[in-house]
Amino acid sequence: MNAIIALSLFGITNLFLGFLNNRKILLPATLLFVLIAFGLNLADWNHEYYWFHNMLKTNNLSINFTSIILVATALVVAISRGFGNDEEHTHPAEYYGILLFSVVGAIMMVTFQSLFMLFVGIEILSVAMYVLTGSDKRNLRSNEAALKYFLMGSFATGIMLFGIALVYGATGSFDINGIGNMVNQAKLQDIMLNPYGPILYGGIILIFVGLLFKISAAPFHFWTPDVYDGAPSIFTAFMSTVVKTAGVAATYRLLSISFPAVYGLWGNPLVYITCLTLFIGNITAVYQQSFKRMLAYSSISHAGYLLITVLAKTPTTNSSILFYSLAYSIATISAFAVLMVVSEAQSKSGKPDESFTALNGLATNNPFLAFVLTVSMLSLAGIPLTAGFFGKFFIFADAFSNVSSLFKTIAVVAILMSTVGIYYYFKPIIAAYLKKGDLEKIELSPIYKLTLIITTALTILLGIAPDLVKNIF
Amino acid sequence: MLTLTLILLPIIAGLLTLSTKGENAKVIALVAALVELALGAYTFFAFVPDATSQFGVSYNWIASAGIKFSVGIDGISLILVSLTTLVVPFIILSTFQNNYEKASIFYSLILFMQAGLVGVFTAKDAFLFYFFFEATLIPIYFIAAIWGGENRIKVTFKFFVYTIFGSLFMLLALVYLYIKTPTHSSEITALYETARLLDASQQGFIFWAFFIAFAIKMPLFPFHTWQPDTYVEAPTAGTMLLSGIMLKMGTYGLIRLLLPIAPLGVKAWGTVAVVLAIVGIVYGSIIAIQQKDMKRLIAYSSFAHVGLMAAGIFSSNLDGIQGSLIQMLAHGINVVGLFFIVEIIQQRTKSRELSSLGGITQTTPQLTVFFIIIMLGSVALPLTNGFVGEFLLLKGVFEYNAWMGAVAGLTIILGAVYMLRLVQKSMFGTTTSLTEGFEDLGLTERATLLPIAVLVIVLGIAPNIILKASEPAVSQLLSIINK
Amino acid sequence: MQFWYFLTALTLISALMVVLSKNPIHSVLYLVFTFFCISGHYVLLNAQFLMAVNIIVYAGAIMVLFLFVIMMLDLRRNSPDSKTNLTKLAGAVVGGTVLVIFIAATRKINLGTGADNAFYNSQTGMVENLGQILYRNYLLPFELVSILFFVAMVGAVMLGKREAGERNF
Repeated sequence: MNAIIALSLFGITNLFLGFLNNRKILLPATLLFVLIAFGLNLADWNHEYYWFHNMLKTNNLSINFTSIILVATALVVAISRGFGNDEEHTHPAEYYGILLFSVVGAIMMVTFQSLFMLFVGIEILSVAMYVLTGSDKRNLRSNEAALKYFLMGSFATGIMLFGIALVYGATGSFDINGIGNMVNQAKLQDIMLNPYGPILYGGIILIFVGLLFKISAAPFHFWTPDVYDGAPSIFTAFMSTVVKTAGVAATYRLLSISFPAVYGLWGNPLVYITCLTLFIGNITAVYQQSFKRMLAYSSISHAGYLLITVLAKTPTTNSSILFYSLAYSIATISAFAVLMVVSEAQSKSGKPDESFTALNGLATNNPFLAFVLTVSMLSLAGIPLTAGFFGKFFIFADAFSNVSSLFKTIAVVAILMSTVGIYYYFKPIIAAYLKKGDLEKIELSPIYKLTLIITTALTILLGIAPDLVKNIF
Repeated sequence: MLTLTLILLPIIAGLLTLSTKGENAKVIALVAALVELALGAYTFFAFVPDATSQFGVSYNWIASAGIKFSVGIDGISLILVSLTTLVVPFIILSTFQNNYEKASIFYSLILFMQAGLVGVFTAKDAFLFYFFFEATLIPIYFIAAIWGGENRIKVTFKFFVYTIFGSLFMLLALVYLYIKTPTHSSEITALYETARLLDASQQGFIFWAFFIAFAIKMPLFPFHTWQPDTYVEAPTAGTMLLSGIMLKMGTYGLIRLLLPIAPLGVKAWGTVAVVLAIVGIVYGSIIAIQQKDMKRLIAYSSFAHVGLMAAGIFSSNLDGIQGSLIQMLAHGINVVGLFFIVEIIQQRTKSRELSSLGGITQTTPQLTVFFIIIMLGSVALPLTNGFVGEFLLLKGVFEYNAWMGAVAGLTIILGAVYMLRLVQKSMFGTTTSLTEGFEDLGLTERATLLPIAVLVIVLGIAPNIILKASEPAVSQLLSIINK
Repeated sequence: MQFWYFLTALTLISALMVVLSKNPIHSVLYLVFTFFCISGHYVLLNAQFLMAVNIIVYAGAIMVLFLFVIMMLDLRRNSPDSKTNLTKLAGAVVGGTVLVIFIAATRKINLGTGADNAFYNSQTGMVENLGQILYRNYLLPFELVSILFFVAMVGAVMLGKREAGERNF
């Protein structure tokens, strides 16, 4: 809660810092703001609070999610390089300000106790993302992405809002615990006799659809590749880490607290959605020529893996989502960091080259970047001794903890799709190490290099000793 | 503690090698491999031949996943650890004629690979086994992909994706078993206990998950399509590692994990596995006879041999498993020798085509002798190392099913055909333009081939050194399977 | 009750006309009409304050803005329909299915006899009660919505600012 207040104020502060006409100060200031928020967030550790008439609830779980969101934000800010030196076309103060506001939305999504807060949180996050997606105004793809995201996103939020209204109509409560109690009672009676059953069920399905859209699960994923591809890379990195983490956390929070009694209603479709997401995300990623677009599809597929544990609904699901999100976020941010510098160095007629071929011969003059890229790709692919492996490990363990034999099938699908994943995650590694290219040495700023070292070290460290964070989660 | 040293020594030496420049790399790597060999020899002779696991250490590693860093050597591990420590010095020695680019990376990768292999063969925790199993893949991938032939990128990528695909299935089975263990432990012995709680269909699932993983690694028919291309495209040292040691990870996995964990699965599906293995023997042998490229011929022969080992293992009796163990050792030694000879011929004539070779014997008495000894070992002539293994394997398969034993027996005839053809076409006959003035062996080449030839004969005359060491462990394993 | 049916039918028809009419000006006018109908519903629900706000804010302010934009942008050129028949069919199937599901779901609902006179309070929808709830129970969302508007505002200014320079189209 304190982090929400602080970040709101910091966001406004950031906008005012823009008047100083000193671009250099913004990055350290924003980083400092995020770190302060991180500290404030941790201050509530081991306490359980309800805030403002049960609007928000903070406990260790929500603090963990908030921490991951803030860590990812800090890393994204650290690789933003102050958005370059283009005085005319970039507005760093606004970008950083909106970024901080969007984090407020994300934190609301992981701490909400009332569906109101879920809705407001999602809207803050989404509106901020619509703006940031279109922030590269001179780029047609960025414009297209922003419009597409805005139209589809508002539609999805509208559907979700309708769902919230229906659920409120059926249960008379916005509080997720209150809804949970009502749903339990409603379940006791026959759905046909219970006057509110149909409304409730319709509402749940609509909320569910809205949330699945936000985490880009198939078949609600169509916006993802275009938006991720069109948005400036730095914001794509933010979207595919922070937004995804918050979305999955919110989905699981709602489903596990309010609607466990009607597992069959959302569980059965979720089986197909999970398999479809894994399938579409991975298979389509294989055909991509652009590294960035591949990462977009890979983000769809990772939503699929996360949904497995949401579906398994075991006591460890929350900790699995936390670990997976952390592992996925740091690896993705590394990958985007490498992509950003390389694609700029390989610019063709002013446009950054984001295809796999841009990475050709990266290892010759930039062994550090090539190594960072390799570690992040191995982690995303789930190769042992990287964090990504344990992310997958905990998810499979969750799947098998559920007694239903259905999870064997899902696990086999997931394994097959992981193999496909290895195929496309190795394309950049092969390009970097085995193909020949004429990439010059790329100079990195100290903070950029430090960030890459941190993400890479963390990926390996969590791959060797996952207990370091798993004990906290 | 000894086991841990065996794993850590190559890693440290590898890091040391990585930091050197130029010529020193191969010398450091060789010294390290020889020290490791000495340690391996010490282990072999210090080993008390009973069913216990010795020289082990065990640390808690990842408590939340029940994973321990637990290694130790029992009779079965001992043979494969001996093989690994024995063969790697030869592999390094065989590259002394070559001057690789980025040699320090090349040799450090070989040493890392060795550490991974020893880890696989000594791991007592199933996930540790899995980590080492995957970890060996990265060095061999880069060895083959950086220093390989023309099509290396495509071929090695296929190999990589194929094997990862298999091992992911193993991971699936391991996670499944781990969740089913009452104490959430992943020690292999705990998994043996857990397996008893599972019914036939669950064991069938585990059987197939493990089978796919190991069948791709070995490889068994019809999962072998990555193998010949990878063997041909990889640099010879890589091929030696792949065929000499790495494919034994698959057979070792069958013995260590598949048989004792899924006995009901083996009962239900074992026949299918044996049939696939035997099909592989015949298929591989027939294709080997047709080959024109020496390396490809040996690759297919290796494919045929591993089929027989798998058939012996799946017959799950003492002779079959003992035979497969000694055959793993023998095959590892022989195939390294054969690939080295191919490398020698290729370096001097720039060709591996059987049709363009011939008449080499006229100038090279030493090479001829060594080639023939190793070849005879490979075709399982009595008093060579290949004979003991093949005899026991065939006996095991015969006990399992007489008809299958009879078909598997074809391997001896077919093996003789393709190996003799290999020697005859390449060494004898008239000299061609390529083989004129073929020089005989140099010092390092002799130093490599002589011990191999000696081992071929020694192990053929006194196989009991090996068989005795592994017998108690194998008997205990069988008692677990048949419980 | 009869009046409710009449109002609902009117709302639905005018909402449909928003989508169906070809002329954007007509669309906007239908939308204004829809908002009036919804305000009528608010009255039926005893929410007089919301009714007033809805008319002032939506029908008054936002719709007028809409009209200005449409008139300035000259949208009379009919752009060719870019949808293929397959997309149209898919859309119809999906939308139709959702419609059928919701009709099926609501068909069985028995909402009872309506409001209970014993609990009826004519002051429920008045601004005082609304304010009490809004600034007490729902203070946090109320305040945080300001962040939402702030983001939208900053974004609009940022995106709307004219820029010189080449466009990478």
